[in-house]
Parts: sequence; structure tokens; C-alpha cells
Amino acid sequence: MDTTPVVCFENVYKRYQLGSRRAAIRYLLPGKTTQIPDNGKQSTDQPDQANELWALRNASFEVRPGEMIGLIGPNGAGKTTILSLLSGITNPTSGKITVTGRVGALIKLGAGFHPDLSGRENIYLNGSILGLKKAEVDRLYNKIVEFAELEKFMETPVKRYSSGMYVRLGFSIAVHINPDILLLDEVLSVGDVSFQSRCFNRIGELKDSGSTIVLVSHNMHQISGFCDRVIYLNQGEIKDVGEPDQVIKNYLDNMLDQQLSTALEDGSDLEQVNGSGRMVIKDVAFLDCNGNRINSINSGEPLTIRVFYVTRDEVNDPLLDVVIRDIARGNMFQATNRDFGIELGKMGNSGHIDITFDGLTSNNQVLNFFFTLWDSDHTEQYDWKRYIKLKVSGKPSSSGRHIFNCDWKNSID
Amino acid sequence: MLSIEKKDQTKIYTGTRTLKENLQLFVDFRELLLTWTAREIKGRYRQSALGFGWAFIQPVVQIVVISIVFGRFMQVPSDGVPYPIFTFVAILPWSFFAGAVSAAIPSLLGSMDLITKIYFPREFIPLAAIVARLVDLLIASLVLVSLMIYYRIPFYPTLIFVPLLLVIQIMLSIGIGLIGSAVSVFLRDISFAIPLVMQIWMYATPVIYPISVIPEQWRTLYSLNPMVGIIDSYRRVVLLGQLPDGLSLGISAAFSVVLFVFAYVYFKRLELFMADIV
Repeated sequence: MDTTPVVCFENVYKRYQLGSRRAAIRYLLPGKTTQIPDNGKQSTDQPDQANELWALRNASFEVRPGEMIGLIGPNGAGKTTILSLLSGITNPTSGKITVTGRVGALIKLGAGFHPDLSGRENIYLNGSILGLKKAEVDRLYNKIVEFAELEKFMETPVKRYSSGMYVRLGFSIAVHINPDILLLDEVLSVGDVSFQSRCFNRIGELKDSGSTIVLVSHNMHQISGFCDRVIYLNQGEIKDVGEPDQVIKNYLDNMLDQQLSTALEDGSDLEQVNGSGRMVIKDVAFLDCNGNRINSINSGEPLTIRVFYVTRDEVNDPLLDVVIRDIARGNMFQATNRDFGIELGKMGNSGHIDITFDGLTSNNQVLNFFFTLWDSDHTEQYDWKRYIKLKVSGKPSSSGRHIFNCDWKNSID
Repeated sequence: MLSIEKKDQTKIYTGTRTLKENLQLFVDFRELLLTWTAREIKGRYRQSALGFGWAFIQPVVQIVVISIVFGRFMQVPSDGVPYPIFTFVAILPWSFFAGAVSAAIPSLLGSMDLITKIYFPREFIPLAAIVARLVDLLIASLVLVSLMIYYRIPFYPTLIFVPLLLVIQIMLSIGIGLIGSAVSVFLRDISFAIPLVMQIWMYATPVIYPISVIPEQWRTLYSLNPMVGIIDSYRRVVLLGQLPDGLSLGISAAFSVVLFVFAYVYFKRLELFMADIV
């Protein structure tokens, strides 16, 4: 099989001018030569560069024929920029891009449609833009319409289409022109279930027939299920390239770490006492099964939470209320020791309470812990500590918020 | 730089393109001109009951009104030719020019949906807007021919100049259309200014009055308006059987060619950034 790359990015930089009028006018004037900041690092020293956005910095990669590549990364990482450059819609500020073959693309959920034209006219317009002869479009027309399930709407201007219809038609055109390279930007998340499953099947067919596919998705499940290789982008830079599960894990870990560090700001102040202060939480430690203090753990591994306290007065049978929240903000766990039928007895001047879990089920989440100490009657709040973080990693290819241990078995009747 | 090798369709993007590459792209996508022009024409008359009838009605009504106001009431001189046909021979190319430019300039902005989603040489959009106006011109020309027969104006041999004049005029329209449409993607003010500019421009051109009303000492300055040479020449070759005025048509032709070339180069430079504007 021919392994000459069909897509080749060599040190590609892409800059966008931000801001409104002045930035736009700058395009109209004779350009000064493109200046690439050292190492592509953004400098805000010069006012000129303050409203520049480097959407892509020194990106180099290759895609071999028949490969399916996933692009992942947070919003603004440069994923869509790469697709736009690949399809020739926009041009690199510097560097070189080589693309071999016919490119079909669905970028930012949109196909290149003219809103005033009917579905039928747009199919022909798209076909001619993509380099098809009219006879070729004639031949593909029925397949395109049938796949998009828009038989009744072909004479309607596309501006009257719903967003789902729009994407269906766009996708259908893109996958039926038999592109050598297919660019898909978040398209698999739209449409109803039956359309989605046909999309997946069609992508599989194209893959089998040797098409090269570049898929942008926030759904790690899709990425790991489809892609042969994954590129992880962050702030315009390629952070990692390689095996899907490895790269996805790297990405998720980085994202969780970022959440952990930024979230700390709204976070916990262990110094401050929120309550009467008769009993105070001095510290909270997460411990693994060896008793080592940790701030991240794999889901399913045993975990001990150690709550260090001091008391001012005599305290008997206090209630320790624990709340755990994940990114979805709702409480995923809330209970006191009494809910488990346990009384804590007499408190010392200082000491710690251990709460032991067999394992948390969270999957790639940063968890927020809230601890409240009450008196035995649940009337006096001694202390309340909030937003204590723990990162729980899971399975990179699984997209749920939880992962439960389970067995799998096949039985033949 | 972008080069397309026919065989395996390899495209190379480096952020700039040479003139040769751009011209090659134009040739590769040439069918788009037809597709776009067709949609432009269909789109314009789509939801109108009279359809192409409007291409007749508009110039006819215009000629009647202008003839009454300027010819009858104001007694504008018309070089010894009946005023209606005297004006009409100028209104026809002027309407084509004004219509083409006014349609071309906002055309890119109206197609941003496509521009940000799919690549094709962008010049086809304003070009199609201009070419589509040729259809109107053709239809309205039938009115002119009828008027010529009615007023017993002979078909002078100088009519062979008409295609040349048309070419110069189209080049001028394309030049303005390309620059205007590209700039208005970045600077929307342009679109607002068109009607105003076109109105002033018409009064600075001998459309509803003869060039002879301009004092002799202002004539050369006046002829710097490239439409002056064109409109005046139409009148000479169609109505009077005279050769065009060499100086003023020469100015028009030179201006149009230079503008055309500059506009294409400038357009193709701005094209690189059009999709970057959000």
C-alpha cells in the first residue's frame, strides 16, 4: 500500500486578527511580512500583538492514506482551524500544507450552502464546487437525498431547513462525493439516533474503501472507537500524537489537572471556620491503600478520607456530613455517619476520623468534597469545609461520568 | 502558493499564491461561472410574477419618465436627436454598469455561508453577479432597437464599435466589482455607500444630458470619469454614426484595463483572509 502522506503539515502557523474594525482594515492595507514570534509564543508587550490570536503554532504532522485521525482538545485548541486549512478555506500565516486528493468537509456543523437556493440546487452547486461534473451529480443525487431523508424538501430553500436537516444534507453530500479525504467537525453529535447510526456505518464504509478521514469530536468514545491515531491540541500547539487511548488519557489527565488548579481558586480555605467552632476541621487528607497522601486516584481503587479535627469543648457523638459533587454540580453522594448506623463516640482534644471507600466509581472527574460537622442533634453547626478536590481517573475510552465494575460473558444457547 | 497537479490533485498551501496559480485555479473552476450566473439570474426573478418582464418594464418606464421631465418640461438639449432615444442609448449601458456594480459589491457578503465552509475561487461570485446583468442588458437592447426603428435611426457601420465599448465597460465593472466586493467583506460601509455613489456618478456622466453642455475648458477634466468616454462613445456610434472620441475613450480604456488588472491582484490577496473575518 502506498504510504506517501496525503496530508502533510510542516511548521504551520495560523494567526487571526482579533478585535473589530481596526483589525479588519489592516487586512486591506499592503501587508508587512508575517512575523512569527519566537517559538510562536504570544507576546503581549507590543500593542500590535495584543489582539492577535495564534490559532496554530508550529504544527507539523502527517496523515497517511486510509488513516482515520482524531483531533481532540479543549475549545479554541485549533482543531477547526486545522480542518479549515486542510480544506483551503483559510490559509496558513506561515508554513506549508500539502493535501492530495478530493476533500469533502463538514466544518463547524455547516456545509457550504447558499441559503436562498433549494436543497436540489445546493446539491448541484456543491457538486460543481467540489469538482464534480453535472452527470456525476445526477448519478449521486438520489443516493444523497435518500441518505439525508429529505425527499420532500428538495425544492425548499435551505434557509427554511432546521439545523438537523441542514447538517444531514451537508453530511450526505460530503460522504457521497467519494472524497479521498473527509473532514468531519463535530457532526456525529447531531441528528437523531437512526441518522447517527447510518453516519457511523457510512464512515465505516468510506474507511474500508480507503478514504482518509479527519474527525474532530469531544466524544472520546467516538474518537477511541474510530480513530487509528489521535492528535491532542491545546492552545494551538500539538501536545501529543499517537495511539488513541494513550493520547486521550493524556488529554483527560491534563484537563482534570487544569480543573484541579483553576478550581482551587473558588476552593477551600482550611483556615476559616464556618460555624460555632466547638469542633473544627483542621485538615483533610486523601489516602491510598498504602496510607500515602494523594490528590488523584484511579476509579475503583480503595480510598480513605482522613478528617483531622480539634475540639474546644467536650463533644460527644457529632455528625460528620460528607457531600461529593462531580462536574455536573449535583450531589453524587451525601451522607452522615449516622446514615451508616455509626456513632463516633467521644471526641478527643484532637484526632482524626477516617472514612473508607472500597472505590469511587467516577470516571475522569474532578470531585469536590464538602465536610460539615454538626452536634449530635443536628442543630448546631460546628464547622464546614468546602471544595476539597480529588481527581479520579478512569477509562480514557469511556465517556460516562461513572464507571462501574462489571463482568462480561457470552452464553450460546 | 497553491498548485494543482492535474494527475493526483495535490494542493500545496503556503499562505500566498502566485498569479499563475490563481489563473490555473480560475481555469479549473471555470464551470462555476456558468453555475453561479444561472443561479444569479434564476434567483433574481424567482418570486416575481412578471419574471423577465421586469427587464423590459424598468427601462421603458424610466425612458418615459425621463423623457417627459427632462426632454419635454426642461428642454434638455439632445444634439438634434429625439430626446427619448438620445437618453435611452445612454441609460441602457449606464443601468447595466450601475446594476452590475451594485449587485457585485455586496455579493461576497451575501455568500459568507459558503465562503467560510467551502473553498472555490471567490471571484466567481462577483463575476457571476456582473455577467447575470448582461441578460437584462440584452433584453433591454430590444427596446432600443425598437426605438431606433421607430425614430428611423439608420444602423450605422460604426455599430461595430459596440462590442469594444461593451468589453471596456465590463472590464471597468469587474474592476470596481472585485475591489468593492472584497473590501466590503472587511469594511461593510462600502455597501451602504453604493447607492449614493452611483447616483452622483450618474450625474457626472452624460446620461440624461449631452456632453456638449459641459464647458469646453472642463471637458478634459470631465473625461477623467471613465464612464464619460464610454457613454459618449455609445451615443456617437449608435445614434450619430461618428467614431468615438479618441482621447476620452482612450482614457476610459486605459483606466479600465489598469483597474481590472489591479483589482484582480488585490482581490486575490484579500481572498486569502476572507474566511478569517467573523
